[in-house]
Amino acid sequence: MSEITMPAQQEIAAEMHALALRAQEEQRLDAAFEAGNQQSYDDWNSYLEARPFQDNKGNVHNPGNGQFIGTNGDYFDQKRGEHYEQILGDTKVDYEAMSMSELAKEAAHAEVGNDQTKFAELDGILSAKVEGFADGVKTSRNPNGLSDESREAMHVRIRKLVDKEKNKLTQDTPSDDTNNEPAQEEIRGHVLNNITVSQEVRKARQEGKNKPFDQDAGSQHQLGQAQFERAVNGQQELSQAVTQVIEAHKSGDQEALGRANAELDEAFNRVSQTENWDDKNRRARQEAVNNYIESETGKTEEAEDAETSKDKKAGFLRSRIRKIRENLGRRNTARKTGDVRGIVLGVKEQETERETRRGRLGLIIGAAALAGAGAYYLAKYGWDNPFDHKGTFSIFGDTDHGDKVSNIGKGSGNGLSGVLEQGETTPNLSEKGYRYVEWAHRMQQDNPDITQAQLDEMISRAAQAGQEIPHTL
Amino acid sequence: MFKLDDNLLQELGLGALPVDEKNKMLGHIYETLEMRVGMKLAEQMSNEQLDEFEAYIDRNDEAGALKWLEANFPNYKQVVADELEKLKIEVKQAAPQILATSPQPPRVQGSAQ
Repeated sequence: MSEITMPAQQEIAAEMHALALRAQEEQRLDAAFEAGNQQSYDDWNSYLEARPFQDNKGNVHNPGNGQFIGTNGDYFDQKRGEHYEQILGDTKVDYEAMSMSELAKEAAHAEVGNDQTKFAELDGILSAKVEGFADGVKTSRNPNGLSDESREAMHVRIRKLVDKEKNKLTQDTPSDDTNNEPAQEEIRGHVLNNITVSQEVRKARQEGKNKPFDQDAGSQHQLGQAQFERAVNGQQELSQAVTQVIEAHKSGDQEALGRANAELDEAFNRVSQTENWDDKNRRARQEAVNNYIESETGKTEEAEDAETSKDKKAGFLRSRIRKIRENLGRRNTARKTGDVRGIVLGVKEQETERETRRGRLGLIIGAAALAGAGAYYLAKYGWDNPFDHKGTFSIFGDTDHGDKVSNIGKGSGNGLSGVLEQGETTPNLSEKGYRYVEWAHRMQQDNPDITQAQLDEMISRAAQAGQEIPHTL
Repeated sequence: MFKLDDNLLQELGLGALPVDEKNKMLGHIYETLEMRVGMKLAEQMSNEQLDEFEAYIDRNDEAGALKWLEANFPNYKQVVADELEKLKIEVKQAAPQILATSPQPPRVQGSAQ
């Protein structure tokens, strides 16, 4: 066996090196002509060509004509600053609050404008929205939200919506908000399909298709098919109702919105009956649809209320606390001065509770709890805020004081809360005396500006009208 | 959220009250509820918690007080709901008496003669 000499070894090594280089070169060449890679290279090149460039002296030039672009300071620092201002600063655009279709439009703008950072951010928010939405679509049959398959389909549809917007921009066609309607419809249909058609029905239908010669699967399929068709009809009905609600929302026509919401409710009633949804199931599906409407229209009225109500609640609480303090203060002053009428006005129930700090604070804690629980809705839903309510005690300056006062007195002063509170309040009052306490309390409450002279007049007129002054106090 | 409105009065058997009396009834229910809920919550608070709550009120920081309540008594809305239910039962039982003692709507002058 002959030995390999050094020169021969070197020759083999050189040949192997050459082979390796050639393989690398071929690989590079193959890769260069691979369609996907080619597209990436082109994209990258056009991106670089479209970017302003900086020369060795730090001057920034326009890529189109090579001319100097005047900037204050470093151009790229400035651009970075603008970007961070946009995503983090005071003028930050609240992308989270945008609907999916608005986000898709923004993302398309970013992509067309080659703003990769913004696009990546919007893409992330869109994905999170889709996932958040999919998580929220919970039913008894879908406890963890939409299936992976459905989620994927939603992502694909959102991507299609972005592409559609992008095409509109690149084709230089005038912006038309209605252009993306079909894509939105598609998403809506998909969402409602997921909400309406149960997984079991879908599975039965699919199995029947997959196993056409399996009798069980076939009959399952038939059953599934019938259920599926029924559910799809329901889905279409819901879809139409949802479309109307969204359109009414966008138009700002409150009357139309009221009608559309009522129709959606009716559609839900019908579909839940034909689909035999129990209450829990129906609520979950309704919530999912509401979430969808919210994602398309911004906040629902209730969500908006929840957000804006914080200030209202605090304001309401403030006025209520003022009222409570007035009553407490009035009573305390009365105690000091021994003014019986003042005591009467301040007394309502649970006297001893108010004596203590816990009792006094309890009143304010109660006011806070009710304000926090949304008591101010009283005003919103048609009834006057009881604490702003001026009542009917317009006796001052009128000519028929006596009649009104006597009516108030004879009107059981006025039996409503009297009946409720009997036995709870100062026990040694006569029936008439109690009623007077109640009446005076209301009088004062409804007319916070009442003066001592007016109060004297009231008492005198009440006495003339046959009302008994509560001497037992 | 709970609503004190005409529906509530209907539910309690007080739908026949004159509008003015309805308003007063709602006001009364509100006040009674406020007091009962307040006492219930105050009973559960330690002196330190009362101090903390009072500090917000003294600073006129009502929003802070609401936030504090939410954080320290996350079930306070349930207390409101429970007390409202109790109150509703009481009012419902008393509804016939309330209706019987409520003033009649004013008659047009002259027509009563």
